[in-house]
Amino acid sequence: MTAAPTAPSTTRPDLRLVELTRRYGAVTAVDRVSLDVAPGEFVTLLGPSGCGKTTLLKCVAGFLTPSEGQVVLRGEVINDVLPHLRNIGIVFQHYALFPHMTVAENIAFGLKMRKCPRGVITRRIEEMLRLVKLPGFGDRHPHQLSGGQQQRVALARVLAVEPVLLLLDEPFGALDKKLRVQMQIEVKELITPLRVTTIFVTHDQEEAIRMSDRVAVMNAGRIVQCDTPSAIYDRPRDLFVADFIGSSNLLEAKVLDETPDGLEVVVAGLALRLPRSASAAGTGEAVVMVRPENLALTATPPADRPAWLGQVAFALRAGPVMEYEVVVGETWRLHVSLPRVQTAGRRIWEIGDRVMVSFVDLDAVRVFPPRLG
Amino acid sequence: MGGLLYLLLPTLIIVLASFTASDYIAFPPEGLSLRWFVRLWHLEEVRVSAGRSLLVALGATAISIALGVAAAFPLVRSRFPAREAVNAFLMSPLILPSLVYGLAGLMFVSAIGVPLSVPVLVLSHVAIIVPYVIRTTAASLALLDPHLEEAARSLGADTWKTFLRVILPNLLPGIATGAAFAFISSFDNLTVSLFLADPRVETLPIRLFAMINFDLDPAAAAISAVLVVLAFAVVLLAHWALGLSRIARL
Repeated sequence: MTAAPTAPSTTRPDLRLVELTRRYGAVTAVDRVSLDVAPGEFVTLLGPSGCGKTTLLKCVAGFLTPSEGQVVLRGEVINDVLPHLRNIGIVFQHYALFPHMTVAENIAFGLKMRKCPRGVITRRIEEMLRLVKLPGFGDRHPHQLSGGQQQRVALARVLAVEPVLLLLDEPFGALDKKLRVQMQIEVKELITPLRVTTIFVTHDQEEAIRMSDRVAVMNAGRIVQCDTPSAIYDRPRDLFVADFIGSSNLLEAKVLDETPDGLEVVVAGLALRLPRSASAAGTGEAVVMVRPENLALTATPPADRPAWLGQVAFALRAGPVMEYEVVVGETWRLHVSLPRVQTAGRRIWEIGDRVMVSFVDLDAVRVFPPRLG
Repeated sequence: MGGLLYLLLPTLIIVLASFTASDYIAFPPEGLSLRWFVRLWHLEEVRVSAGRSLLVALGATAISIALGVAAAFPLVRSRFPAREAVNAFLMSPLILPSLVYGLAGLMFVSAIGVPLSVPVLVLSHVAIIVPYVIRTTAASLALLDPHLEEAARSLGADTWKTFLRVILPNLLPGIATGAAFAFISSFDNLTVSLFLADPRVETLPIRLFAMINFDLDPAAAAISAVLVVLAFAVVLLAHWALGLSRIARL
């Protein structure tokens, strides 16, 4: 199945990929990918390593030629345009700052290549250094800067030439966790007012969800699903996306009946009535996905909904939340995550406690066809 | 330290002997004087051969830089089936006895009917010194982040400007180190020059060799001292200017 591109805007897309394919010998790294990116949009290519996201990025940048299909930038097919004539800016994971040049010379590089007058370049360098909050750093060399500072210089260098399209290739991969989150916010704050169309490549799903307007989840060279972060999280199209984005309980189930107003499903011995929108899989063997935060633990069975009887097998304090593992019906292990803040009717459970496990929101439960094999 | 002394002691002896005041080579030197260095300056054949060696070494080094840098790129960046074989072939002059190479070169040149001349000598030196440039340039190139090229290209530099403004400046330390070694190897070379230099066109090492053979006086020691100092000077210059230690650690 092909993920239908759902560009939120009716204007002409800035970047359009049409059935883009790239092969290496017998291996198809990118397989008939189509994607529209609207002007000013921030789209993330998200997937495990080897899913083809970097190959796709290189095709857009011009470092690889597509085997088939088209790369269209602002209405112009650029398959055969050399990289230096594309006006596409790239920020790399390891910054790729020119080590023999100062910060100012790095920022000036693209402008010099465009033969800008000296006065314009000088002003632009100052402007860019202010923009990335590094005024006065022009005379330093890259090796004298921290990782975060180098990343900001790399961004300044690219933004100085006002690229048509900005590509970010795992730009935070080399930073430690705390700095990474800080840089995510900084970069987002920096880019958003400039309205520069951005393609962001990452394997970090939290990062993707945090930063993007839309996320294109890739697997085995295809875009499996392309949608807003919330839609990807709440309504994953298939098991791969469900498994890759966030954490989820994937439970073997059986769809007994399918009617216009609902599905009759048996999950881990519990009969449920789910909304029709939960699945397009038909009746028979299935896998039910429920997010850990969509399960509730109570001491007594809730009156209005079905619940499993289980026993807490594991309890972990993970900062703001409590992570529980609850064994249901001998074999099923459910991962439940609850806020640690205690409000009325909510308590911290201990290992060995007998609890009732119920769904919070049945609309957020998904049913998929069973895994192959 | 002891090992270093063991390696350097013979060199030290010849350098010290060159400062002798006597009419014959002696160690320890009998009296101290610069008379043999002054005498060296007045020996015309020494001056001429030194100038010629300098010319040959500069020419051979220049050609080696051009060829060596060009050869380093496919050796580092490309993956072709015979890459290891080509690498070994290009390095072979370092391993091959240079006497054998000199004889082979002479036979080759006479077989194709080219008379011995300074250009032939320069080209023969290129073959034995180009491995130094290839080695050190390849080492620098292997360390260079390949994304630098992509960054330069995406910022609007064509392939030539990318090479000139981004790649080459980062390879300079490696190229300079290789060139220093190449220059010294050519300037000091005796075995290949013995075969491939026109008998009327002596290089400095050939002159030195002749002086040692026929007329061993302290002038020979003085030439040796000059050669030693020159070699150290070139390597130290490369070390000081471009951080040889960083390259040598690879």
